Amino acid sequence: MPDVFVAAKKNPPPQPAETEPTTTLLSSFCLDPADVSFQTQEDDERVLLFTRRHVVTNIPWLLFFFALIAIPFFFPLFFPMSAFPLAFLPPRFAPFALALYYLICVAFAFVNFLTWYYNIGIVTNKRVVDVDFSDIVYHDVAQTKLSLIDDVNYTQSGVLRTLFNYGDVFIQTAGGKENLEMLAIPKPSQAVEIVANLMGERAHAS
Amino acid sequence: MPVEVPTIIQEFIQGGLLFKGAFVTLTVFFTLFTLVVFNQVRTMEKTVHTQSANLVLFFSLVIVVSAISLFLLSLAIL
Repeated sequence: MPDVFVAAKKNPPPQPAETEPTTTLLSSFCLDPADVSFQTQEDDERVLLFTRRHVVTNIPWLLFFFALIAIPFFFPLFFPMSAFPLAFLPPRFAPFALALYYLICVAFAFVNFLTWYYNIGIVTNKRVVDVDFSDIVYHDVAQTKLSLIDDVNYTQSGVLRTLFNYGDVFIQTAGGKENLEMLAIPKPSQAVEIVANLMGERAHAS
Repeated sequence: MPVEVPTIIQEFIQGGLLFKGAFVTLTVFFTLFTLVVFNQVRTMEKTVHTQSANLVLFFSLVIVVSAISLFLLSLAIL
């Protein structure tokens, strides 16, 4: 029987070229990032998960920073110039004092940003790496092989954490090795699933 | 008998040299702090490297240069 109607074949839309995901300045959760590497990474080691604390955890210090920025504008409204603590200084000091003040504010914000930026959790096909960076002059890199992980779990409690879907992931290691923690990371359930799957693959392989 | 403050000390205070010295000292310490931060950023960039690490390094360098500029300006102008 002849066809009554044959629809014209449409050419499929061109598929976009596959691009590997990359992290950005404010990335806090990235699967299979192509641009992440670390110092002790082996040649055949691939980064599967890159995490930082959720971006909303930066709000407290950001608000404090904006308050510091606004103080010089509002100070004359509440205090007369004669009561200004530095009124005894010669007038030529004022712009320099202001410049130093704002530079200190920017440095404060930058240090807080660095504390967030360099607190990183990395999961590779071989191990889990936890980079802790605090107090500028202190940083600690802890790592454990997947075969040494006993248990992985997460907690997510509180309104903000539930709303923004971030929580703490705890990785318990065998023996007396220190446990790893990834605090306030986005999608903790997905991170736990990734680590648990890797543990399962290791167990099946062995 | 009233104590007379030596003239040179009066000139030191009223001429602003005391405050200039204090301010310059503050800027020196702040510059050293920014240098420490810059060095730590370089160390951490080697520990974990990401695409945006260069931007962070650049910004820390800007802060260092700003601190040094403020120090030099305060030394020259104040």
